[in-house]
Amino acid sequence: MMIPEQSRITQGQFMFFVIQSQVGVGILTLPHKMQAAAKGGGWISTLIAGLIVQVIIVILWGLCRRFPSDTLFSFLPKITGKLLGSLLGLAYIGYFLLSAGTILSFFAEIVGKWVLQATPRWALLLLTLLTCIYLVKEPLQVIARLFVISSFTIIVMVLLSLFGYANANFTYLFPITDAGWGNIIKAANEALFPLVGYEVMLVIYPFVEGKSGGKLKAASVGNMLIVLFYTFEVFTNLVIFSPAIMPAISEPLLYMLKGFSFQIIQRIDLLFLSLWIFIVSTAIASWLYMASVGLGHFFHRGEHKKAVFYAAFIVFILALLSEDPSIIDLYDRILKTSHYLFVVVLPLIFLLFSYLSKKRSALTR
Amino acid sequence: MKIDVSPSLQENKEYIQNQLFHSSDLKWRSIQFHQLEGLIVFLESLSDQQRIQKEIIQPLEENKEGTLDKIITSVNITRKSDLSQLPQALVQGNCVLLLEGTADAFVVGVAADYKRSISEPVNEGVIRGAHDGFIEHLITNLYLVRKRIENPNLVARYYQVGTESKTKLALLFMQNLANPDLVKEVDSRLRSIVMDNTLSPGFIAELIEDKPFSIFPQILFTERPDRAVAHLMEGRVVILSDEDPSALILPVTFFAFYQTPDDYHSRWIVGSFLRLIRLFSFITSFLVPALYIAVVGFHPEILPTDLIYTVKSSIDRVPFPPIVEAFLMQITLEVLREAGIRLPSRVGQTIGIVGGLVIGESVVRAGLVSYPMVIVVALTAISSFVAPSNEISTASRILGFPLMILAAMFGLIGIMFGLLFLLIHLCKLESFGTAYFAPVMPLRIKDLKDTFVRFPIWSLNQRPHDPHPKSVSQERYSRGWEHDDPGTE
Repeated sequence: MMIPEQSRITQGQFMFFVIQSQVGVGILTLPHKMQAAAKGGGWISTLIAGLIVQVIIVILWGLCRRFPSDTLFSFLPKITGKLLGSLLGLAYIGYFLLSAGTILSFFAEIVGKWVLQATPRWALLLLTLLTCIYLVKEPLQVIARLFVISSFTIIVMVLLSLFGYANANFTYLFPITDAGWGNIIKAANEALFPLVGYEVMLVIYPFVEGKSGGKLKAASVGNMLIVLFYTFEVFTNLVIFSPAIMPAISEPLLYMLKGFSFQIIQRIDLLFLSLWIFIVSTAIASWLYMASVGLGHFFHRGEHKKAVFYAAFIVFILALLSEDPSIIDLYDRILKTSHYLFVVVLPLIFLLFSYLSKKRSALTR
Repeated sequence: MKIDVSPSLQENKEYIQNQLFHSSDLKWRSIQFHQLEGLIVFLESLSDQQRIQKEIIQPLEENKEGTLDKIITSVNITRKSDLSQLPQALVQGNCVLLLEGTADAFVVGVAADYKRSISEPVNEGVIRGAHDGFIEHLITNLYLVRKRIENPNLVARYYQVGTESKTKLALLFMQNLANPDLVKEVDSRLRSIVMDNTLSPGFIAELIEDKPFSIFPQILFTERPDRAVAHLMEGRVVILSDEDPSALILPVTFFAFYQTPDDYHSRWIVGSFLRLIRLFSFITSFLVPALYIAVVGFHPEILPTDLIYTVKSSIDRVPFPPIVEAFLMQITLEVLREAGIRLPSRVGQTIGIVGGLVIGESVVRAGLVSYPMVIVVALTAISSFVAPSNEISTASRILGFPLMILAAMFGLIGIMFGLLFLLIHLCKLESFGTAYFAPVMPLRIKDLKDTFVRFPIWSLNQRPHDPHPKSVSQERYSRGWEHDDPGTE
């Protein structure tokens, strides 16, 4: 497969691509969930989750490496045969679309709760998706450029959170293993989901320049930075809110920022939320991109541009339906299962399969 | 179609007269040369009659031996055997010499040069630095550039565009710096222009730019030779056109519109500070009204309590929502600005009084607009005028309108999406193979030295990478006296 110039990205851009795909809505609620599951050891759980993700990244990389010029959608048929491969590809597309829809729906919920109480939900969804469409229909290089630059918002978010340490109380952390190691590891399982997004590797791996080792390094560094960022935010919240208060607040990060103010700006949380919009939009754009590459592969001879509009429409419908909390719960449960399936189990099987079939083809040759 | 020059003077004369439709400024003078009857034909409006006298008639009267081309002292003389080419030569200011019984006509370049003197461009003033500017004369403009780069690598290529107007253009570039692909691309785009009439460089810019639907200017206009030269030395190309003082510089990045020669003439700290101020005002020029609308309409709690009371008490007297107020004032501002350009400077003061006092003060007294809004609009206007390029200044104010609408609909969230949209647009823009928002997107840390701030000149060892110059390194050890051994770092 020839990769046109406009679709090629550097390894640095690849790293930021991974970063932007990973940071999404989860960051706001993560500290709350971690505290509920692992008490003062929540930050350790986040680190453990990061390690697990690292292992998954290696697996995905091992799989991608075998097909250095194929995306997920073009190498699936090579492993499993044409029919099954195409069906699996469609399943992956469904997974990507559902992920985008869920993030979008969580996003609309938080914005509706914190900033725009009176704005109709569909208008917000539409605004977000139109911006994403405008980005995603571009070549990969353009998307990567934006992802690099919008990553700087993460630095500002870290700086804003640092203000929290003015009223930190480190004793809240102790005893660290209050919840027991079992719970800490269980919590790590929970922390896997805010970290999803590294799946983008499966789709953009062939477009990255350079050797496979460098690509693995880029993805790993990206993941590491994000895990550190998440751990930092969880840690910050754990030392600021007492264990008694934490269960009552679902978005501790925002509550924390609401608490302090500068001379001119009284509501830091609004500032934080505004920056967070960049992060969420890029995450949605990333999922949308993955899905439209797939759809483009199957229906438009590789032109993902043509698939963007209806892919976004599907995401819009998915997000619109999920206004009901029971439906968003359903999405969440589906996603959790399919995450293990599509990102851990299936790639492992594919990897084994491709090793075996390679051996076989080597033997017959 | 070629028509041979007839041996009969009368026939030639009639042909030329017919071709120029007996235009009244077509003049004739009979001459004698070695006993041959001859005619000098010229357009009195375009030819310099003193030069005709000195360079053609005088030598002819002296009646020396030799052929015509030897005798005539003019630098520019060609033989033409094709009669049909002569009318075109005449309208370019040449003088045509015809001789009885000769199959060739002589075209002598004696065009008159009426041009204004070189003066500082009014809309691109600088405090320090050169005070000369381009004028409406191609050769003079070329002179101004060549004088600054006395280097055989500076190449000028002439073009003629406009099938009727035949506008002359010159494409300038440094042979050893400009990327050959870029030169080729510009060349092919200039050649491809098919148009009756290309009146101004604005036409050329619109015909060759990459994204005609973008709000951002992608080609830099300048009337300053030093600016043109600086860009040439970075490996960009410059297009000069006859009869217009604006030079087109391409490809440029967004940040080129916020740089001025002043940055390099003042000390680097001062230059950096001013540049930061300018970029900051780019942001305020479209963001402030939107922010105001969002804060007042959606999130007043973001402001300190005392300020909320002041602002609210002022707003409560106004019957309109902030968005209407903002549009009203912004449009008034644009009208005032436009009126200011058209009016002669003596009447201009009136505009100041009407605009500043009557509108600014009375509109608030009448309760139509609130005080904070007047401040916001004034701030917007001033910060947009900071931009050194008129194109980007107007573009930034226009950008404010969609953002205001977004702010009125979605508050801060709307503004952020607007900004994201803008950022995506800037990522997408490319002009002549160069990313428009380089070196920020795609990020190139080395080039940031001369983007938001200006590092000391001696630390800018490399040219900016965005026009893909042939040679990146531009200096090393410029402060050589500090190093004993310049060979090692």
